[in-house]
This record gives sequence, C-alpha cells and structure tokens, in this order.
Amino acid sequence: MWRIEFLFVAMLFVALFTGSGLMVIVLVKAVRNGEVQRLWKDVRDE
Amino acid sequence: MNKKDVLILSVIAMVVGAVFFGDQVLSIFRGMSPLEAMKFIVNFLLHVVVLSILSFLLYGLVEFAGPVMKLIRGRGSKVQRRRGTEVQKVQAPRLNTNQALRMFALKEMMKGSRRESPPTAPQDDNQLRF
Repeated sequence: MWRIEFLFVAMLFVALFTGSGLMVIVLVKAVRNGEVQRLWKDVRDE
Repeated sequence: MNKKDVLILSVIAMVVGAVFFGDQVLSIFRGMSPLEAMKFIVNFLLHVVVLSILSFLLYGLVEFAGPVMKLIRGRGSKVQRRRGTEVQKVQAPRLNTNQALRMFALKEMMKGSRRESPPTAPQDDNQLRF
C-alpha cells in the first residue's frame, strides 16, 4: 500500500530532476552561444 | 505494482513530457540571460521544496491535532460529569458495508427458508386418528 508521504517525496524528486535537467540544458546552450564566455570576460575586465 | 514498474513508468512519462512540452518549457528561458535562467530555475526548485514540506507538515498535523482535540473534548465531558449532567452517549454499532450486507443476506435467507418450508403435516402413521 502506498503511503501519502511517498507522494511528497516523489514531488520533491521530480522537481529536483527537472530543475537539474533544465539547469544543464540552459548552461550547455549558454556555453555554446558564447554567453558564458562573454560574462566571464566582463567579470575579468572589471 | 512493483517499485521497479513505477520507476519505469515515471521515466516513460518524463520522456513523453520532454518530447511533447520540451520546446514550450525551453521557450521560457529563450529571452533570458543564463544568470536569469538559473535564478528562475533555483526559484522554482525552492518554491516546490517549500510547498511540499509545508503540505507534508499540514498532512502530519492531523496526527498531532487529533489527540489534542480528543483531550479537549474529554476535558469538557469531565466538567459536565462533575456538575452531574452526565449524558449517556448511545452509539449505534457501526457496521461496515460487508457486515451490513452479510446481515441482510442472513435475514433474507431466514425469510426464504420460512417461506419455502411451510409446516408440513406429519406423514408418519404411528399416530392413527379415527
């Protein structure tokens, strides 16, 4: 029998996986576009 | 349903969701700089975590609130008893559906057996009436 606690833990894990996946996708896209390099250059110049 | 099946099903659901709604989700971040996008994602994660913890606490609160409410009610009845206004609670026995159906079936069977077997005349001939 499933307990309701399982639902909360599942919700947390789904959010965690979704968030980390999105983060990876966003970072990879940014590195590919050269936005990260530009940001890093701005930081270095300052 | 096994735990492994649930895992496989959830992975399939995530893949299907990513295939159908991936573009829509990624289009949220299209107009953002990477820092803004990361801020958005972290905010989303924090919201989900806090909401799930709050809902979990709210769910668990029932277990704590139940005995407290019982205690408060019990105190009230004690005061009533001291005053001498004791009220006898008559509780009807609670039956679940299965028990109720069983009782009903038993009653019906008893009725049926009465109808089916009317009092028969004695057919033995050790009592001869003239």
